[in-house]
Amino acid sequence: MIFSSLEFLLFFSVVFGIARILQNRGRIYYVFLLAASYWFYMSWNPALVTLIVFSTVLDYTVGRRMELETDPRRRRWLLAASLTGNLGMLSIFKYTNFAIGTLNGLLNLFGASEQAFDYVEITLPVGISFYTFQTLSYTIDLYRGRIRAERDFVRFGVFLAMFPQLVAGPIVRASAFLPQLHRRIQVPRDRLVDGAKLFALGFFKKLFISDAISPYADNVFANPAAVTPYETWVGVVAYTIQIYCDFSGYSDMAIGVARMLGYELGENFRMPYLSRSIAEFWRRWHISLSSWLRDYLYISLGGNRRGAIRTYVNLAITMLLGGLWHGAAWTFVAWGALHGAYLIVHRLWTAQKTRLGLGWLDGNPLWEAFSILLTLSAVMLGWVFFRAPDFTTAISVLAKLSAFRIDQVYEIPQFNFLLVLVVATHLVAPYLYGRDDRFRLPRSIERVAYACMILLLALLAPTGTSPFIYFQF
Amino acid sequence: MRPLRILAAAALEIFVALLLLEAGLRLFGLAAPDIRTPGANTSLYRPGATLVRITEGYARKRINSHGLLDREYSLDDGTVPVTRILLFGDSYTAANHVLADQVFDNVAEDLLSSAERRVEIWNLGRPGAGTLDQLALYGEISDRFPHSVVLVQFTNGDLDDNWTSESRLEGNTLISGRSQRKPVGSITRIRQEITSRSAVANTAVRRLAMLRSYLEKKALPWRIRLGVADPPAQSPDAANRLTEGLAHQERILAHFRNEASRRGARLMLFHIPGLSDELEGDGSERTPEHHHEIRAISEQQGVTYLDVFDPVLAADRRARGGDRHLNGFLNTTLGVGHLSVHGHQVVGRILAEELRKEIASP
Repeated sequence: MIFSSLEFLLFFSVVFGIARILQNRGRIYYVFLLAASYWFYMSWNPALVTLIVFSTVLDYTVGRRMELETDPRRRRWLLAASLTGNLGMLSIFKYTNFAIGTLNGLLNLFGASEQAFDYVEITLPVGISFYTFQTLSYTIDLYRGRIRAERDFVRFGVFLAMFPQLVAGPIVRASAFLPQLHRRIQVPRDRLVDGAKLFALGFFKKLFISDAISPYADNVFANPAAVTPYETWVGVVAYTIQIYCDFSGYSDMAIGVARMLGYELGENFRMPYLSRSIAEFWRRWHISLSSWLRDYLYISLGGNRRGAIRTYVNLAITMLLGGLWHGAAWTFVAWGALHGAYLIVHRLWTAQKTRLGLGWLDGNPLWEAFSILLTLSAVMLGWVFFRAPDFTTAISVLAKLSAFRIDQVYEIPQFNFLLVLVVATHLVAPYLYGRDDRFRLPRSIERVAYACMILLLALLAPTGTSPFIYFQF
Repeated sequence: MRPLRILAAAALEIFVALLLLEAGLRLFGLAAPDIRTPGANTSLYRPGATLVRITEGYARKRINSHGLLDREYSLDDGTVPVTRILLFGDSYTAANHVLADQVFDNVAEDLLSSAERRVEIWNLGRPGAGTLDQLALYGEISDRFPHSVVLVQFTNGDLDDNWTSESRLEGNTLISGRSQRKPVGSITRIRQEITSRSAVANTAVRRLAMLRSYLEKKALPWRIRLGVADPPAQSPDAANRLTEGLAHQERILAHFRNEASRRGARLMLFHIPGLSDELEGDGSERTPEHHHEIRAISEQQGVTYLDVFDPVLAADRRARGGDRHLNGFLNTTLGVGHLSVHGHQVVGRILAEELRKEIASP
């Protein structure tokens, strides 16, 4: 059941209606919310909901024990139990075949002619990477003494399994979400409308832009030999747009749905393709993951507190693991490594810039435009590895990109339209937001814009919906 | 008063949105008004209208002054002798998704024409049309356009999907050249008028038709279960269908040949292989296409059969092993669907070779 399907719209209408009746009536509301969330998850694979229940029971128990425990050693053991249980589950379900493949590859290097180990048939549970990180934020924050343990099992279950963010984020922190489950729920009309608007915007991004532009990328990455270098550029640009609209569209819908129910999930994307540096890109792209990696991995490794070399190593490790989090394949590791390298180069450049007397570049509009283009190009290069099913394809795509000739260019109006739409909204949108980050337009113009959006969806959106890219992570 | 003002404001906002959308769709070339002529049950399109296709490839094409989705032609230009061929076929020939100059008939036309003699291939392809529809269209328009050759593009679909009942063949008024005009209701006429003027309305009507067909398909099992609809009739077994289909096609070809020769023209036929079927296993298995049988019945009926099938199939196999597919588009899937621009070039070259043998002498 994906957000952009009729099935979800029906599901949400029923849940929303019942939630409005039950909200602020005590525990029954949270029991209902938990049941609805499990139902939502079970629409993919009923059996795999047991993994969420396992994580819920494990971390609820660990949390309760940890709060009562004063012995640091025992607290560490409890944290280790949570990390082992959750990361163990993630490893088994997501990385077993990756490990087998890697091992077979290594053995082949040393002369083994056949596959030493057979692959195991494992279904990847939807959203496992997301809810694992979410629940780990709870136990780690508890261990660090930043939050108090949740006493109500049902509320803790809702924190972990709340359906809007369950399968593809945003990764919600316990410190931000659990207190909301103890507040009186109030959804004034303007919040309701805001939530609905955000949902509609996400729906538009997913269905009208991402799904429509995806074939251009799919064809290029399915068989790079069958397309011209120009078409390869179109494919890579298309994927750059697709992944942004797909994932930020999902986040918008999740945040919108949660807002309509009275909860705030936090921002996950902030015009990332307008970033002037790769560090800024990671502050604007998948904010909930990048801040998670910063707070729970990079800082735990020592962050930038142990000298320059160690900082670079920590950055590299964080991004490598961040890459691996996205998918169990070496192409994702390469993508993470590339971003790690970008961040190290950026850090070196930042340190040297002032020393070289180039501080005046900051704030120069031409330099800023160049920085945005450079960052975007680097990000696009990374997407080639992220999207390619293997290194051979990635190398073929890169080779085709380098063979571009201007005389191969031909008109692809549908693609051009989507490109113009995305670029224009990126350029215009910053001026349309108020200081509180809320969309500011004269009401009548806003209504016309939404009417256009709905009409475009009705008239030109591709028929049928495809799953969100981030579901596979 | 207040509710009325709100209603008026909402109506104005929707109107502005519709205007913006109409302008946007036309400006970006994403949609155009309907190309059909409102109120007339003619098979020719509205001269000067624009057709835009975005779902498979991209094409923005203008209907020529004769009402054809083709290049502009002049009937009175007597500068050089002209061999005029009327080409009938289904969506492969109509090629709504490929620019007019890139469609195989125009590729062939360019290859066959010279300074001394011009060959014109007038494209009368219609998506979804079977041979019987093509025969009806020929009856409708043939007297308007002097011609010496009638060329029919055949696909496997003509033996299967486009198979229509015998009753349409017998006593069809179109075949003798008289137009069959059904009375058009005023609501239909108003709808046609609007869709022929507005890109938004035209797109909306097509979307609604798609939605209706989707809902009908979804609802059918329920309607059958409730006893409101009958289950679809069992299709005859493949062998029977082939025998019946071939006999049917033979009768249509006989009619077509007679109609053409009555107008002093030769009938020719060529078969384009279906390239949408994925090859199986070693690449040798595909859906049987019965081109040998079609050739046999063509020759029995004295219809010239142009051997396009085998060379196109061979080119398709080479393309699948190599890097440039004959079908599929960047916005669909390469290797699946209608002929791509490259596919049209290949078919055009092969067709030109075959036609050259038949129309070499003036």
